[in-house]
Amino acid sequence: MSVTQTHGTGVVERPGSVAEAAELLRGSTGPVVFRGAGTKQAWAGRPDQAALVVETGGLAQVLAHNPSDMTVAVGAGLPLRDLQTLLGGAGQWLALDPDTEAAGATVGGLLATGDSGPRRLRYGALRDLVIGVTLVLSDGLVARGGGTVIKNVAGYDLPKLLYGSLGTLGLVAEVVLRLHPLPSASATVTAPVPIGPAVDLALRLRASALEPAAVDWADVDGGLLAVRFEGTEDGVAARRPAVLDLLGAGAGWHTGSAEDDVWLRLVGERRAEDGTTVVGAGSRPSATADVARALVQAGEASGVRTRFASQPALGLHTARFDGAPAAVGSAVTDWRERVQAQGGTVLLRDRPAAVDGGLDALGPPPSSVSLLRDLHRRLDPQGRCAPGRLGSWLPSPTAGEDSAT
Amino acid sequence: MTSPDPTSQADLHPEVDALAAAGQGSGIFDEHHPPADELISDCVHCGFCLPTCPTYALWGEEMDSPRGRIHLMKMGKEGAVELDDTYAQHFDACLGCMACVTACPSGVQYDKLIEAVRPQLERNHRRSLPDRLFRGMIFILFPYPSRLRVAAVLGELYRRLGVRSLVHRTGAIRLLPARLQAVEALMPPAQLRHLATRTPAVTPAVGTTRRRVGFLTGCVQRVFFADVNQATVRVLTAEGCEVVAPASQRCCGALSEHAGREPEALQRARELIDAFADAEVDTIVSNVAGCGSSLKEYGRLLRDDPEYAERAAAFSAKVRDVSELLAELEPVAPRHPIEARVAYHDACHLGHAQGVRSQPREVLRSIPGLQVTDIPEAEICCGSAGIYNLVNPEPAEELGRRKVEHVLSVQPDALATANPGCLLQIRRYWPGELPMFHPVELLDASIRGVDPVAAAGSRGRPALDARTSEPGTF
Amino acid sequence: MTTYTEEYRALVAQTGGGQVTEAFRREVAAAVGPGGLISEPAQLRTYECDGLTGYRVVPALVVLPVTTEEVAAVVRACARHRVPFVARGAGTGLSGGALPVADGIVIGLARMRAIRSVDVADQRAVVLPGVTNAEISAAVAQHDLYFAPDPSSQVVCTIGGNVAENSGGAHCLKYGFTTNHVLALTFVSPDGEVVTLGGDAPDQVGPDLRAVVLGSEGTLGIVTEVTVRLLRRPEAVRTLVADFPDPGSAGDAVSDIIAAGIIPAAVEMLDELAIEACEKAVQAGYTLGCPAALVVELDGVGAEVDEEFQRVQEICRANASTNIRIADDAGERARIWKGRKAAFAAMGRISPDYFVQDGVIPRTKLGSTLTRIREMSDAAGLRVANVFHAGDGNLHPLVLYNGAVAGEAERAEHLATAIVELCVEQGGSITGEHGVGSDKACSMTAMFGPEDLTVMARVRAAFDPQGICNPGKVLPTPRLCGERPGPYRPHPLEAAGLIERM
Repeated sequence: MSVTQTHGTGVVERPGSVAEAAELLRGSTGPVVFRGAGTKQAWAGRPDQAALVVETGGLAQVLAHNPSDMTVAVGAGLPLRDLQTLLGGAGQWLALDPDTEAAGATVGGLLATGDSGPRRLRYGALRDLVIGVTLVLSDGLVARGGGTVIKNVAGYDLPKLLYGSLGTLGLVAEVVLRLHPLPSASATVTAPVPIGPAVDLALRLRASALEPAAVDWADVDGGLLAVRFEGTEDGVAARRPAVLDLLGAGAGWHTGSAEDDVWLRLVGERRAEDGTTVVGAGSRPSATADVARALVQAGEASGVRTRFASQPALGLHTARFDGAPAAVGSAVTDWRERVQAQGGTVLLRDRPAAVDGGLDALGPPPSSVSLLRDLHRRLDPQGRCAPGRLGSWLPSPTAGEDSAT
Repeated sequence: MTSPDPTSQADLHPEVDALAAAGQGSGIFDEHHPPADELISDCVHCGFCLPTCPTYALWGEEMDSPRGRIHLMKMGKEGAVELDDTYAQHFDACLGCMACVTACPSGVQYDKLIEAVRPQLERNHRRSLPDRLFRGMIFILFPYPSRLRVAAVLGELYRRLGVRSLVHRTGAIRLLPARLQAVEALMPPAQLRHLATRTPAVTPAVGTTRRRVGFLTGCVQRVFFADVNQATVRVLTAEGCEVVAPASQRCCGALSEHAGREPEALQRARELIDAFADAEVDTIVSNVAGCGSSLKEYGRLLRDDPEYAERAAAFSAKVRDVSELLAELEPVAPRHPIEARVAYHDACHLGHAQGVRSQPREVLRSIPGLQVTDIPEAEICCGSAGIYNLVNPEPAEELGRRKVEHVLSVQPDALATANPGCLLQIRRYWPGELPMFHPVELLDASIRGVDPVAAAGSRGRPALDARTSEPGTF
Repeated sequence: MTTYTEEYRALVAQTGGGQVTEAFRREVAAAVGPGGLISEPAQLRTYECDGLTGYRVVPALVVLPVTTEEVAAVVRACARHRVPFVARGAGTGLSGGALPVADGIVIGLARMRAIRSVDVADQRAVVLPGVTNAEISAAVAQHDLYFAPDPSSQVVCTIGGNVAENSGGAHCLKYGFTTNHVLALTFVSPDGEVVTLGGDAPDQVGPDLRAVVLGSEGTLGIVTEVTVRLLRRPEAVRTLVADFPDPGSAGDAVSDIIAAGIIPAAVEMLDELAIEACEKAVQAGYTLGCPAALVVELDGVGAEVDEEFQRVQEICRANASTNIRIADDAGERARIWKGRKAAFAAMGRISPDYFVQDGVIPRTKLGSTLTRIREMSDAAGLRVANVFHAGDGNLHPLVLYNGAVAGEAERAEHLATAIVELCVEQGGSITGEHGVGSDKACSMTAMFGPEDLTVMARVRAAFDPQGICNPGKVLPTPRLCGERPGPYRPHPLEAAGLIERM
């Protein structure tokens, strides 16, 4: 059943089924924004004022869980933490540990934003775990892509196309996922090292046969490197001597709640506090130290305080900027140019609205931008889906076009 | 025997012409053993043969792959194509290395297919005049040791009188057509004193006689590689074999067969069977991969000849490569160490055509101190392939250089291979000097207690001194 | 409900329509040079099919470019003249994805086979599309790295083809498919523009265009350079072959292994007929006469693998395994895999003809599906050999027949079709790794509804509005596939006389 409420100037709707969602979109006009838990609404560019906000809270059912096949189909609005609780009962989990899980992030929102966590190193991103999707386009067309089995190459891979689409192609309504068994043992090794040596260690860990599940670094007390191992009791224990040897003096081995504390601390180093601007970036793993150095330079040049956190074995980084909005804007732009110059990407996350005034949210478009525009034009012909979120890459339709229907 | 007209095969055997004229039921092929439908239909088009095919490796074209050639054969059988130059060129381009036979999971007998197609092309397709003349020249020369000896003497004179260096220095060599350049470059240095040596008709075993074996002395082999023959005889006798080499033996017909000159090949096969008829041997040994492979095919080759069919099958059953025989025999002659890293190159007609891969390696490994190294991309032909490097010099050169790169990559002290063609081909593109041996030469040296690799190293030249002793002098 | 929307019909009706004229030939020849053109009729015919020989169309021209710029120039000529083009790697595909289009050209990538660069620190390599899957792993082996996807045809199939088909292989249960191992693509769009999809970073900003191109079977453009992700070779690999008294017990063992929380690197099953064929082809040491054999491979950290390997053996024994053969060394392991990987082609050893089928079922339906296949095969009076990736439910039933016996080919095709229908009924897929291609385009309606197909047609039209890029593949053509949602049927192109059956 659809729940209607007004919120700000846009109408907020909460459809209770895929059919309702399709009906809602078919029967409406104007810009629309899709929202799960609302933890990442500001990512990339800020959308124009929406006429309609479609919340996925009514699409939060577990549609099918087949423990023996290790697959689950869920409504897109199901919060990840609820899903994990359910799966845990069967000794399984969706192998994804994004920072926003605790804030109630939904499965659909995580797919649309391409968010992931440290254990992506071992299990891949949601892109690698999604096997099927139901998509509702802005003209009400409902399309399924993929399937319900983990191996399937029939038709175009719509599920993965939606990864990182930021709600610009349509509403992710249902998601089918591949699951993993919960590991029976886990341990985390920490070492106090600055970023330079940390990157070196991360690459050596990746080149070793130790198979770390996560390698994380944050700027805590001059630098804290954390390396997580998962598997059987024997398997985890067997790695201990080699890892302690590799990480050297000062390395500590943590399990149980001490291990949880390590990771909570690292998550804290990526979180947005009031007034902080948080920016994500990706690069080749070996470029991590350069990306960190570029951040320091960009911060210094604009007189902005910066902090760096990274998953150096993956080449995924988080930068935090604190300072006057205009200065932050120029520091972000500066850093983005430096990261892009070496082939990296940058995505704006949370920030005070004032920062947006002084910066192009997306920066220069990639070489594939015309393909992206063509694709967008075909899937969202009226340009209704979150216009403005991909900023200059997907220009908002003119008012005339928008009201044509 | 009179020498065949270089430009025509059919004239020798009018009965084949008649067949060609009569048969239209096999598409563009005549009725005399066209490629068999059953063999063609074994191919499921999976493509597993592509990466091992030398011409596909060079050109990446479907019609120059085994799968594509079988496809062309099928079209030929259906009469869906013309037997023209375009059609023929794809079969002429095939080296006949049989790497695809090894690679094929469906068991397609490409060897039988290509050997059926080549005579069809010889009979039913008229090549250009220069092509006919060149091929004719090859077959007037190579299968005749006596003519080869004359050529060898002329070649040596050409070398020793400085004509060769003059021709190269002045660039005159580049005026020759590519095919003649290939002949010039591949012509091995002959050792004049060997030109007069003959393998004795019978050489007794050293010590107790364990076997009486027949020995095929070969054409190119006996003229340019007489020392390999001598080494073979020494090794066999040292291992207790009485070696019989009938003086009447002539060319085995391998070159002709692989070139599709069927009547000529059949005639030579019959003559060789006759030559060994009274030898009273259980085993017939060849030390040349291409010859051995052909001898093993006599049964199939002469299947239509009522007089010879049975004898040919019996003959083929006795044929062994020298390494096969040596691996079979428990070694009796003591081996002395040769400290060297030797790259072993599988000759296609030994590895792919005869499936003899482990035995030559075992023979080499029986030498203390000798380390046998395999070569990357070992399954790809070196480009020699019988007369291939003479008639198709460009692709042969590319393959030769490619093979040399791979041999270089394992940094050997020496190279061993059981085919004179491979040896000449690799040597042509080798930068500098690499000692090259037939495996049996290394075994011979080991038994005699000399180290040819070290000798070559100190001299910077192939170790000719290890080959100097006459049989029985050790 | 009809099978297609009006919008869908309009979108897929675009199929180029241009002709290979003299002017077009000249433009293409200018792009690739005379050595890169194949135009003799006999030569063109060798390109008339790929690994699926049932359908054949002779292309008007074959072009063999060697650089991205040449590919782009040829594609631009095609776009200008509205001439359809079909990209081709080694031509080993089993769904007719590289089947030429009448009046169209084939763009063969077999000459683009350089390995551009290997970045050991970042565990990636840049390769051209004609490089074979196995060559990549061979080239990086010295760094203890490898490329994980390993289709059975890996010695010959090319990375370009792997990208087009999103190839899997025996080890994708644990390691995923090509799409999980490709970081970036150099891509020539159907209008001839050269763009990069993906990049150095793990994620790009915005929708994942690289992901939709992966597995699009050459219908969205041509990939001319691939940046692949390489994996560190695991510390330990343990492989066993367990014999079972019946396929059901083997299926139960697979379920129990997964339920125990073990994700094997690979779990393969071969039945009696498949074993017979493999043994005839490569003598891999499988037990002849054994009704079902499981190949189970574990890899990872030594201590963990040892622990789980013991557990797997216990599970096999608990499910009535009659014999367990453990590979003692790399050579033995290679022999086991050689047997498995030669399985399809080896069928030629036990049957004159056969259809290779590819379908997926949920793993838990393995036992019941195999029983059903047995019943169907008995009813049809035809032998079916089963060899498949048991871990992920990807079945490869091989329907054996003799084309020389009148009517047997039709019965065999019917049975192969019925088996894939069965897979969809069970909640599975019409294809797990061979692709839709020409073979199963009409079967798409068994799995996808009108709106699903419409959205896919929109995606295609976004990339290729003229419909010149491998038209007729993947998406069903209404005129040829009929209106009724019905799975797989003989290709109507054949009935229409447009293509000929072998």
